[in-house]
Amino acid sequence: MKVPDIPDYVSPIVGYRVWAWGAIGLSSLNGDAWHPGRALTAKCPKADHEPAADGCSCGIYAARDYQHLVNIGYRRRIGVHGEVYLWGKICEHESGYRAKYAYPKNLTISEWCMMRLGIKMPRIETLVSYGVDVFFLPDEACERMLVWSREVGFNPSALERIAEKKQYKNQYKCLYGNKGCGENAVYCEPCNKRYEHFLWILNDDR
Amino acid sequence: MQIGEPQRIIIVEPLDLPVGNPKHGPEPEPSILPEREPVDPEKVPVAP
Repeated sequence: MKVPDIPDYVSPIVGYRVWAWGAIGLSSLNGDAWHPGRALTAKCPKADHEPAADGCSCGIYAARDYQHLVNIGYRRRIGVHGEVYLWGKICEHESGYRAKYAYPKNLTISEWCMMRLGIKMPRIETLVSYGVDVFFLPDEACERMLVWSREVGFNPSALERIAEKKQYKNQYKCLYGNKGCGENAVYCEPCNKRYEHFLWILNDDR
Repeated sequence: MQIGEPQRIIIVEPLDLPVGNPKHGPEPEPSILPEREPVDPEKVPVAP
């Protein structure tokens, strides 16, 4: 009789990883898509066993801490990084994990990634669809800024910061015709139309 | 990703999954309760 595996932990392990960020969402660097609202399940491409198997390389990979991602050059190279929940069968390694199941805990857009991809609002919304906190990390700043959370939605200050990075500041006029807005505002403060304006800014192809 | 040498295998079964349950598939649809018989007010016992 097979004795059921007794869990070692009843809370998910938290690791750190990077994702490729395409027009429809996140994927692993090997191309496996991460779907919003659904855990990624590992399958071993070599053998018919349950990931993450001992003596194999199968499973969903994550680093043990953020510094390890930096040390191996992943954070800057890819751009979108963050914490990831891991559960199921997990193989602990010296500086990371291989797991059977995974789902993002939070996501961070680096400035390097944003400048490279020329991010627009629809692409930011692909990250929002995962329902986890989304941050922006300006290269010159030590602390990341909350862009979106389930509790408060979009953070206008972070959106303004992103719009500044896109060098759209000072390039538009208020759509609502409020003289108090000024031509140089990124958002229409007196009109309280920040989000709509941001959509307009980021969807503009100038 | 370079994660060094393997150390040990652990089993993690969260009490609250971060998202859905990949093991058991989608949650079943809630069953529809049968309609209740209409209550005859004259037969309802009334507290003294």
